[in-house]
Amino acid sequence: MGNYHILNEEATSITAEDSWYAIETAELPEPVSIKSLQLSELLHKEERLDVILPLTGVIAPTGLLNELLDIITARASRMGLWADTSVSTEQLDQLLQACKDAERPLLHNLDLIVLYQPSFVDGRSFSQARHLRQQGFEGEIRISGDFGRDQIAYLKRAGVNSFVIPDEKLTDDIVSAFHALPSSYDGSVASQLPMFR
Amino acid sequence: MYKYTHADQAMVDERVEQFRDQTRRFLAGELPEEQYLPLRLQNGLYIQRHAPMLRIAVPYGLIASYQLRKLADITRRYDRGYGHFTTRTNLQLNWPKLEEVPDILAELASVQMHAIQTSGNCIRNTTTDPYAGINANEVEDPRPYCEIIRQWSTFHPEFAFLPRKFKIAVIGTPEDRAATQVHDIGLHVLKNEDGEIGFEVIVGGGLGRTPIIGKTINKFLPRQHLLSYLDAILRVYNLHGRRDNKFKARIKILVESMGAREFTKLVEKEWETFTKDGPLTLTDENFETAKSYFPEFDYENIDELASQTELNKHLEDKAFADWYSRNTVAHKVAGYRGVVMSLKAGLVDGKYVPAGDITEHQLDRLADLADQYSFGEIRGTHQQNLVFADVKQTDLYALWKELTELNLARPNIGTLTDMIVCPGFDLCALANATTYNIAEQIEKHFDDLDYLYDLGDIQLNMSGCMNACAHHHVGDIGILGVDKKGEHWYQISLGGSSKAETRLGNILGRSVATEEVAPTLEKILNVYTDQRHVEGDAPEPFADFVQRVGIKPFKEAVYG
Repeated sequence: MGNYHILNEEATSITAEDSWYAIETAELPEPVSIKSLQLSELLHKEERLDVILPLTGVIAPTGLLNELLDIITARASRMGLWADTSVSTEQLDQLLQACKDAERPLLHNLDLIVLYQPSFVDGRSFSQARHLRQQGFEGEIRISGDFGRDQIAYLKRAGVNSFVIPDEKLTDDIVSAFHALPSSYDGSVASQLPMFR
Repeated sequence: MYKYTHADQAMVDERVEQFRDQTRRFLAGELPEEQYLPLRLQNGLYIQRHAPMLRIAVPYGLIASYQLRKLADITRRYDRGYGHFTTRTNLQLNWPKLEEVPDILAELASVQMHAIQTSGNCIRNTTTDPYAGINANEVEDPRPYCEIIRQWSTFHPEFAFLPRKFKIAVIGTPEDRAATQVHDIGLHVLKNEDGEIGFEVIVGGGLGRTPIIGKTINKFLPRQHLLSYLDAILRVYNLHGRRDNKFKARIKILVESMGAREFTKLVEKEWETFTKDGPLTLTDENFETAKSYFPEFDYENIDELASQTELNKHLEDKAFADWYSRNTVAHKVAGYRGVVMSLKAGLVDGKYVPAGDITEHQLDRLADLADQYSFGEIRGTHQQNLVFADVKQTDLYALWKELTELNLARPNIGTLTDMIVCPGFDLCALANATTYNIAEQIEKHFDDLDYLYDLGDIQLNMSGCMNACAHHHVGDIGILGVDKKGEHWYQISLGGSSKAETRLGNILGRSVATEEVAPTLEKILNVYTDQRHVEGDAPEPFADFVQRVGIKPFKEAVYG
């Protein structure tokens, strides 16, 4: 994987504290997380790790993942999931329902959902983030992929709270992107329209 | 009209700075072209055939005189001294310089104007009836609702990267002067039996290469739910609309492919589950606030008899009488009229003036005339004309003389030469064929005003490609420019309408060569004048005639 950084809502780097490992599968795009790990490596680790699994694999596990899911969750300290923009709201709802049902305790404490945006103009991630928030998801929503710095302020307002940014895009002035259009609103409250403020 | 609050002003000022930085980063090679493109589009900036084009937003078509003066000034200083009004009542500048666009936007922000979301795959300028507020039979003035929608959609963080562009129109009368049924969302203000205000919600209309008339998905949406319901529609579209093929990405394709019932179910589920009665719900107090920005003007109490007597005296002047009958409309207040300024001057000194074009001098003078005669406001229309909505009947004659000097009093509103015409191949990078040469040919061929009056109301719409910016599908006569091996040919359709009974026109037959367009129109019009019914001295309108006889007699007359 290339060199990536993770910034929080305030544009502060949280890269050093980041403990998440994405489990490598054939579908895993780069970057979902700054660190990744093969399943076999996970099984050989002494300590428990924070792992990120494919969302579709968890709500409808198939093949190897199905067999290993219990083992993985037993060896993980925290669980996160990643999804790309093709994941439907029904799938997101199934996931959140599964979290509530809590057959697997780790799901009950789902800490992180990484949304992977495959192209700059694919705006589904904005509605996916909003949908997760509407459904009451209070964990971290992280955006990765080909989003642009000029989308960061809008993504924040839609519910995203951390950002995976490649080294070459981490310029000194990126902080301004986090605070673009400070007077505009998040789209969800009528009383925030200028004439009603 | 709506006056910016501190929040609005801060937002547009911040936007100017944001775009200035984006343009700087693009020119410095720091912002990739594929990211700058959607960003510049959302600031109204296209790259056209010869130069950039900047589309300035005119929310629901309403402009104040001080804004007109600024527009005049901008066209003088940053462009070639003219602008072009579009069917979405925006104003396009065809020759700005890319590096000066941020400065133009800063100038606009100084008079509460901008170019935000006039292009790109986002929610565009909301349009309405140009006679809003002056109609006697209006349920309610739709503009306060338009302003609420404008504020909701401006910088909406979730809906800035939709599958495709998104257009909303709102009307408050049974007559439709805003083509609402060929919009992504059309809203009709209604009053139910209990006296409550709400909207009929029509979704999935559109033109372009797949023309479709919108479907009603909610017959009466109580008005407090306006924003939460729009929010649900947009979220369903953003998540489900196709992104793999830009020609199938509009909401009309989604509604058509899943069926209006299934689409409605998704919207209702989203709405009922998440946002209905939530924080997007509007209150009566909110509506009163919105309405307070569109108060009735301080109309004079006019002595109707004296006013009418004075008018009658002037109506003896035939030229004035023609203009009065074609270019003025009724007003709900006695002694007042609405005045339509024709931006279809036709041939001036033998040269065709493109439909919707306006010079800096005309803009400046209209600002003065607006102050003098119409409470300092002017409006744009879907037909690319302008309106003074509140003129005293006794001022009409003086105003007409002023407008005549400005070439803005051509008495052709609603006639064949009141054409909607897109810029076509001369300016637009998308176009397949030229349009202005055809419009000029039509002007030269049909130069007898009495003949045009005899033909009565005919809407002719001409687009230079299938994207249909000039709405050729819904013209009584539609002309579509096509490219055949590098030559421009023109396909004619008949029987379309964007009014209350919206219809798509039927294609007459194979396209005709450039020089054959006007002669072909003449054959079509001869069928009408030869065969129309006449009751008393009222001939059957062209639109009704085409519906009655169908396309066949026209085919026979044109192709034999």
